[in-house]
Amino acid sequence: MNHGLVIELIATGIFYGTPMAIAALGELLAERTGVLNLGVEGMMLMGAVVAFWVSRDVSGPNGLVLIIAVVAAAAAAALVSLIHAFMTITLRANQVVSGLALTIFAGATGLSSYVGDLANLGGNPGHHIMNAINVFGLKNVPILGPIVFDQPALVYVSWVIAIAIFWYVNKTRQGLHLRAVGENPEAADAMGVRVTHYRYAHVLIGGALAGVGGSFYTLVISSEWTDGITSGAGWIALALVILAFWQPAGVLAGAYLFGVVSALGANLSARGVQLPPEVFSALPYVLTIVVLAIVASGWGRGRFGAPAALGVPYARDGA
Amino acid sequence: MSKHWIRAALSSRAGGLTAAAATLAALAIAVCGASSASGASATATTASSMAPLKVAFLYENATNDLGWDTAMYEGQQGVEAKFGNKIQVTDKVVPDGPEDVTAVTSLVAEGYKLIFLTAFNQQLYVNPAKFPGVHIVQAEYVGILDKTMPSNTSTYFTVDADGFYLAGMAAASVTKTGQVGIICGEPISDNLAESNGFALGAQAVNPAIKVRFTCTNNWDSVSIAQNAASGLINAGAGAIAFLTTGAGPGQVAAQKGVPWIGYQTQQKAVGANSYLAGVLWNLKPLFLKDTEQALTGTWKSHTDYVSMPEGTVSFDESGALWKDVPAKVKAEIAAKQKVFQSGKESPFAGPLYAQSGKLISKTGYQLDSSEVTDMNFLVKGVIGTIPKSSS
Repeated sequence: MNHGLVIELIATGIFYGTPMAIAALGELLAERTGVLNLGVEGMMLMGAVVAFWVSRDVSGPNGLVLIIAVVAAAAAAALVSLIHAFMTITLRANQVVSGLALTIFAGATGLSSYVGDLANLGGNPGHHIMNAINVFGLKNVPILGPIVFDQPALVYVSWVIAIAIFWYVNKTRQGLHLRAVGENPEAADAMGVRVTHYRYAHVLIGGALAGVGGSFYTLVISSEWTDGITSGAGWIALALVILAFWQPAGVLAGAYLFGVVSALGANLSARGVQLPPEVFSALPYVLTIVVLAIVASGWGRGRFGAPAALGVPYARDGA
Repeated sequence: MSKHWIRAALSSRAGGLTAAAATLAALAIAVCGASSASGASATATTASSMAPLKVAFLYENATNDLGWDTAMYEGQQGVEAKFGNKIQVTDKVVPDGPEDVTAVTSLVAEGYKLIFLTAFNQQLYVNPAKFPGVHIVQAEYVGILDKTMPSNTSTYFTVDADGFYLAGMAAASVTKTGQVGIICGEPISDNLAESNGFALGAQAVNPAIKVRFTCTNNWDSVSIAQNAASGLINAGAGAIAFLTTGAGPGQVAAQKGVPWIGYQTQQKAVGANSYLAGVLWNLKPLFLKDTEQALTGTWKSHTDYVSMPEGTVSFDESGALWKDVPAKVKAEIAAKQKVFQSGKESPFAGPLYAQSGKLISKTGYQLDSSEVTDMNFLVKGVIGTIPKSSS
């Protein structure tokens, strides 16, 4: 394997890993407040379909239309996540059931597909596509050029989001409250932190980011809309959050790892070396199981564990 | 025929969790379907004898997939345009599974007399023999549920290796690397025949051509298909074709300035600058025939192997890069196309050797359509392996 191919693999790994990373960063925020949202796949598809709709029907300068498309995708997916927030935070419904319902409702055979039909989005390419940016003209710099300086804007946005989340969660007062809400909502409540507000806000931000991740599929990867275009990326995003031990840097690393491994499989196969494709599609889940085992062990629980209140509805006075 | 089981076994189109979610969704749909059926059956009995023939199309995927389902849907549109108010048409998208039975049962209860089952996997669940008096047209019926095809069933096989042979000729003539590549969706006989046709056509133009073959084992994921395209191009393929759903690989090829071959429906808009040619499907003639016969009461069970001679497969030369095909090769392609259209020759004329060097058929022998639809090997000179899961 030559030098150029390794760089190409890393560059494509980052490219295809990005939509999962963005969605997983959103899910991470929601989970850190204690709300598990299994509706990521559905929210991503809503983002994907709305972004494509905008890119096809709104005219204007390329950059502006793309920004509107991403914002619209975020808004649409946040709206979908509002359902989950209401169900699980206000009504204290089971988070797993509500999240699954969300994916079914918005997913490949649901609302996203209906919107696509309604706006007649199938079969025609969009008019605006987000191409790679040659940052500072450094695209041709050896090694780093193709990996770091020749990616579409959303890749850079995802890095900013990851850094912002790290800083927010670990270095700010609000971040401390957020962690308190996810670890021990009773204590947070006693401290005067508004548990419900925190949970609502972060489920909505999580939804918005899932929408942005979804928009990557119809604005960057593909210039067409087909039902279920994310083909399971939302489920991998959920696995990524666990795999990353609920840390933003881990989310990026995990997403890129899957991207690189997947590209590696394709490149080996094209060179006549056939590994079972199932290995690559199962990898995220195999690694997730390993991580779950670590997290569940006595040694790992305190160090890397899930937010203690994850999945548990909060009611003051146990109401 | 056992290999066709593979296609069934491989049919899960997404991750396990997605499948689980889809099953839940399907349950919901099934419940809705059942309730609408009971309501509609009451009204069906009041219909007069002059009522239009009720025709239904059942799809496995969205009809906007720019692939198989879109091709089938274009056939449906042809039927609607031709027969107008003589028929009443409905279509449903039903994810693979037992709910196919629910859907067909409710359609029959609503009085639908001609039902097109457009997906291979629908035959895993729907046994046409249970619906006597209803004409069922099942794509690629291979007798999984019963050994012989029921008398109320017809089927067709689109054997488009001839189209891919021409595409291979064109691709080999424009590649600048001495290599071409093809992406297979799953290692089913259809995809192997198409890949082999592509390889044989490329070899006909340039006997020294390297033909790379890769399989994604996934029909629908755009990122997986695009990775496969990048992989082929990185490995040196200077022109690519693909058999996965949608036009994702074409987009990657266009971004890299590599000529690409479209598949099933007109896909060139996703990467027009380097679109070379396309192997397009046209199922209208088939669907029109069944509808016509059902209308006139002359419908009879039939099995069709269709391709260029029937006009079901056509070769699209409208690509921006078609001008790069040398005049000599253009003439060869035109001549070969004529031969294929006449039905006198198949792309699999002997001597035909498998990848291993084993002689498949002698000089003068041509594989017939049923042998082509049972193909389980790659031809000599192809670089790449059929994934293990196909055995």
